[in-house]
Amino acid sequence: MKADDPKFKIPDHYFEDFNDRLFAKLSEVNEAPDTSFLPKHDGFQVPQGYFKKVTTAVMEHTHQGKSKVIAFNKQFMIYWAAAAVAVLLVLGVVWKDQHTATISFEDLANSDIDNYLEDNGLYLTTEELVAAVDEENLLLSEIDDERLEADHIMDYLDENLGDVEDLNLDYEELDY
Amino acid sequence: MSIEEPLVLALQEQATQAKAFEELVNTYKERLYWHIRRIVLDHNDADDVLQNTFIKVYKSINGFKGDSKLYSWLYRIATNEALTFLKKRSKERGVSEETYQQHLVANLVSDVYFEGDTIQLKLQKALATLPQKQKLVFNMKYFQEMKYEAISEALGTSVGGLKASYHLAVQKIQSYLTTHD
Repeated sequence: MKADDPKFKIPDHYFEDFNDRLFAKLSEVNEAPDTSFLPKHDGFQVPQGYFKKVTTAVMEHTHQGKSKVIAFNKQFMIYWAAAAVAVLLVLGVVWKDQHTATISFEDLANSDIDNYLEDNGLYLTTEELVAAVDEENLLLSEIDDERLEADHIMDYLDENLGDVEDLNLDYEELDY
Repeated sequence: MSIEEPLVLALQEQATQAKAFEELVNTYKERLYWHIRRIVLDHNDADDVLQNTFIKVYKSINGFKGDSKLYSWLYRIATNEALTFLKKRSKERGVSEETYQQHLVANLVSDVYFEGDTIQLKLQKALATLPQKQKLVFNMKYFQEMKYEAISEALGTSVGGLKASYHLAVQKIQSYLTTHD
């Protein structure tokens, strides 16, 4: 390591004073900051009796085995989406009867499906999709046959992961 | 044995699960509600996220290994649910999370469940300008009066890092409040 670099200058006694300044900063952080200028309450209220009602609502959901609270407009959108898919299937059958050259689901690019779902406000979490899809109709053998390559997983994470913290990895369980 | 342990054991036994879960809901609903409410701001959204948090807890209680404290596990689930909710909402509207935050604060003026005065509304505007982590730390420390150790367990961040985040948040809020009308 070079002792100094002629291109960069530092103030006189910078390193001699560094420790004092660092420890002053650390003790400042350890002391509670002055918050006297802040309001004591933030102004949020809840409807009267809310906390009593919420226990009942949660217990009802768990006893009935419901998986997720879905806001009304989201439930409506799921029905709307199901209806749209049904109409498309009927049209597809009619189309197939009338034309020999047909377009199948496999002809759609994944990006087109993604765009359609996003453009139409049908963004659903994985959990909501799992709740909406009938497990019996899932062909797990197809997933097994097309095993994910490590490169594909890395590409997906590169494109879709903002922060590695989002993975919620349990580092203790990872083998290094 | 910590005071949480009998509750965790009761939650994992089929015969005692329902009663124990009700006890868990009653013990933590208010704390988790306020934690979530300060993230999503709107009462109805906070209600949805709170219920989904408890449903997730109910479904995963058998997988709770007891490596962390029960309350910090609950806070982690609640925080993830609330932040995922915000991400999803901003994506649905095709705007950035920052823009969506500003939109939520603007809605507070007409929110029947927000009775904040001018300074309280201004504080929410200041909070909307902070990075999410600083905002979480500020709310948990200042309004929920949690100890750094408890926040550290809930957010998985070192106590030193939390102290620095809290100081920065307070400084930025003060600066916002003095430079904005």
